Amino acid sequence: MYVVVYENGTRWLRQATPLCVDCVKRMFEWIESEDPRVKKRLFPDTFADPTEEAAWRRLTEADLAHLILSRRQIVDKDLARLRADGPGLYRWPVSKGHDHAWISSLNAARLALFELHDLGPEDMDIDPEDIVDEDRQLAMVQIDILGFIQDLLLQGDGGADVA
Amino acid sequence: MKDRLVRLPVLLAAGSSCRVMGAGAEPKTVGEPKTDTETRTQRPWNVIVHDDPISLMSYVTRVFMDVFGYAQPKAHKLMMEVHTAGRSVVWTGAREQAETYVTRLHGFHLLATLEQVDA
Repeated sequence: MYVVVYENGTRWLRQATPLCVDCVKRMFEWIESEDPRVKKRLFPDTFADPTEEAAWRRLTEADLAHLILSRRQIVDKDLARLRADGPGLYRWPVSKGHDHAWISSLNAARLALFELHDLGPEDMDIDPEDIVDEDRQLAMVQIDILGFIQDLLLQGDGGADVA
Repeated sequence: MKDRLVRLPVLLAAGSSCRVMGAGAEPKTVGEPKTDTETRTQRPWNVIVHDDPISLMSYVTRVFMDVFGYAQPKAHKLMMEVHTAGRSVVWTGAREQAETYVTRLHGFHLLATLEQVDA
C-alpha cells in the first residue's frame, strides 16, 4: 500500500488490501460506539473540579460530537470513490483539504478499538500474533493497519510517490 | 511572549501597587490589593497534554504545530515530554484562550486538561 499525490492536491491510497478497506469503512462504527469506555476516551474530562467539568461539558460536548459527524461526512465522501486497483486490491482518494478529517478520524478509531477490547499499554509492545484471544488479536491488527494508513498520510508529500 | 503578557496582571495582583502620573492630574494609585477571588481569577491556566499509548508521536507533533502554531522542533520537544514524563504543560495563559486550545486538542482526540497555575 502506498500514496500517490496528484497535482490538484488529492492523494490516492493505492493497492489497499480488503482488510485495509474493511478497517477504514468501519472506523465510525467504532468511533460512534455507545460503549461508555469509548465515550469517556473520545469525550475526556477537562477540569478536576466536578462543577466546572459539568458546566464545560454542557458547553462543548455537542460541538465535539458535531465535529466527529462532520468528519464522518468528509471521509464517507472520499470512500464513495473507492474502486478496484488491480486484482483483489483497492484505492481511494483523500481529497485536498480532507487530511485533518482523515488523520484525526484514524486516530479516534484506533483509540476506540483500544478501549472496546480492554487493551493496555503493555499490549502495544506485543506482536499481535502472540495474543491468544482472537478478538483482541484482530483489534490489534486493525489498530496497526489504521496507524499505518495514518502514518502514510502524516508523511505528507515528502514520503509519497508523486504522479 | 504571549505568556509574559498574560502573567503581568498576576504579578501586579500580588498586593503590589504602582503610581501613574498624568499631566496636570493628581497622582492615582492603581493596583490596589486584590481580593482572594480577584487574584484567583487572574492566575493563568496551564493546558496539559497527557500521554496515551495509541496516538502516534508524529500525529501528536503535527497537532501541536497545527493547534499552537509551534515550529516543528518545539512541537517535537513537547511531544517527547508527554511521551517520557506522561504529561506536559504545552501552553500557559488566559483562561479563555486555554479553553479554546483544549477544545481543539480534544477535537484531535488528545487527552488534554486545564489546571490553574498555583498561587
